[in-house]
Amino acid sequence: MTAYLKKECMEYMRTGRLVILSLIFIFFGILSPAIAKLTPWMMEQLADDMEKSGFVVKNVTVTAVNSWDQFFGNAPMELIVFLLVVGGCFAAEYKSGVFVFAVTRGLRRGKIVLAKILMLTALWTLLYGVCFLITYGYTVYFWGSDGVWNLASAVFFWWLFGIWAVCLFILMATLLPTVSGALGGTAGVVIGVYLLSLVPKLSDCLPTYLMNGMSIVTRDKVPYDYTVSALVTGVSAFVFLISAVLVFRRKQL
Amino acid sequence: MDVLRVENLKKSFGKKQVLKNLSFAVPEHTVYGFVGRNGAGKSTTMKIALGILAADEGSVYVLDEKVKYGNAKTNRVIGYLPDVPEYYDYMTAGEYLRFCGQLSGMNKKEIRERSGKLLELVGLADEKKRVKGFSRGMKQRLGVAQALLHKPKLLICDEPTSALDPLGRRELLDILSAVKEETTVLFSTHILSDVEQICDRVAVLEQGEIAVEGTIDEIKSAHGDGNVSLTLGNADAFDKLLTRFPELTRGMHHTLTLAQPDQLPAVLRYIADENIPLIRLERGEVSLEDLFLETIKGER
Ligand SMILES: Nc1ncnc2c1ncn2[C@@H]1O[C@H](COP(=O)(O)OP(=O)(O)O)[C@@H](O)[C@H]1O
Ligand SMILES: [Mg+2]
Repeated sequence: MTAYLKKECMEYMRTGRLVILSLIFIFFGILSPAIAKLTPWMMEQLADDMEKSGFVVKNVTVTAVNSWDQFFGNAPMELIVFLLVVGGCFAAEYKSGVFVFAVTRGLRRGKIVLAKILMLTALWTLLYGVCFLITYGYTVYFWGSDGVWNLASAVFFWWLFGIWAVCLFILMATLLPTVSGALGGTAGVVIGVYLLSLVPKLSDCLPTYLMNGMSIVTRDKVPYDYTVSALVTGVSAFVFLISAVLVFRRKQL
Repeated sequence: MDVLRVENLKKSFGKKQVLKNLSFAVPEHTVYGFVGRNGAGKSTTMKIALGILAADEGSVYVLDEKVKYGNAKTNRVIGYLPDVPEYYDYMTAGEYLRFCGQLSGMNKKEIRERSGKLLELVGLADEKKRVKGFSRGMKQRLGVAQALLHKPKLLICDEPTSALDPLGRRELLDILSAVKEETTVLFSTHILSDVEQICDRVAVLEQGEIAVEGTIDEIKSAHGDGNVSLTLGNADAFDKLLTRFPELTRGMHHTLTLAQPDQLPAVLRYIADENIPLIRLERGEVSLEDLFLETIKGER
């Protein structure tokens, strides 16, 4: 399994995927504070037009909260990009028959799935972490951290949601042979969960609830409110993983 | 001892029955040719032997251990070269072999020694390129090296020569016959001259069953020793011989062909008695090609 993990690392490095992902996440990391920083300026540019059309533009003051608002606003985009870039990690190997090959060499199937999971969670953690640190650095530098509460929990919950999506994706990838199938399946389930979350009673126990990082940053809610949702997310992610291993074991490669 | 034993194997894809009742055995230290036309079920049989495809009925034994679908333990002693070997493009040949060795649980030292030796054997020792830039022949040869890395007792090669040019084919066949000392080779092909060149035994798969099986000599003698052609110095003698022996057929350039060699003594006696000048007497070999075509014709 270490051999397979090493191969995965080599793959991400040599195919340039790691570089692409890093660049994208660094870009997003800078983007959030940059947008926040530029908001007043943009408002000024637009002020004249707006006044003509009847809006009264007050002097906008940007705080750290705006920057974090941007950060959580961009996070879904980051996750989507991440999944798009890694989306072929199963499909390519089904197609080329290297899974068959690895299995005939005596690598146990469960270990293949575990290696993929480890790789993707590590990648997500690393990239998301870098993105967060960059945003954090700029934000604290420009605005300090006044008015920002529970940041660590909010960031953690979003990370957990990312992990959940990754596990879901892995399950889909063991079920469906193509990139579009795996990604489509993942998107389908996420949309399904989102629709479910429109039911008021359900909304705060579903994984999608974890995406509202801003609510605890602004103290509309406390981290404790997310407990059920976080538990559901963790447990279902685990179930996805177990199912992925089981599915992959019986799969016709 | 038999390295591989296939017993009453059956496999259908949907309604289509690919393997009807397949049985054969591969003895130790042989190069075993597994012949059949495209779509006969060669790859299917091999995949079942590797535990990557489930059989409907019947069983396969590798060194008397039964092959189980899924995580087949028997794969420890098998080296496999798939019909279209695919690699990770971004690795070099050496890195690839290291990866394979690690998957098979070999230690660093073993891997280094073994891959050095095998890269030498397959002529890729000085190749620094990544696999991406390899030709098909090179990939196929790397495939052989990979398959032999862990000193398997059985090497299974699925049509290793089909996609190669004559030179590449030659090289690959040489490699396969060279490894006979260390291992047993089962290789499938539809190119019969390959089989004639390197195989000790052959099995012809036709209609989901083994139609013919045995050593090449056995098969050839079982299917007639082949024809004999006579070249005569005197054209007049042709008609005399042809009327006396209706079994003879007229060939090109003053030759007559005798399909049944058991008639030969009689023909020769007649030639001697009549003083017919005989220039050449030649035994034509039956090619496996002919036998194969004959088998297939017979079965249809
Ligand atoms: N996964 C599959 N699903 C359906 N049919 C298959 C599958 N694999 C092979 N076949 C069919 O089984 C037959 C035998 O295939 P194969 O074993 O690959 O033949 P060979 O290797 O002798 O050329 C072919 O007719 C092929 O179409
Ligand atoms: Mg085939």
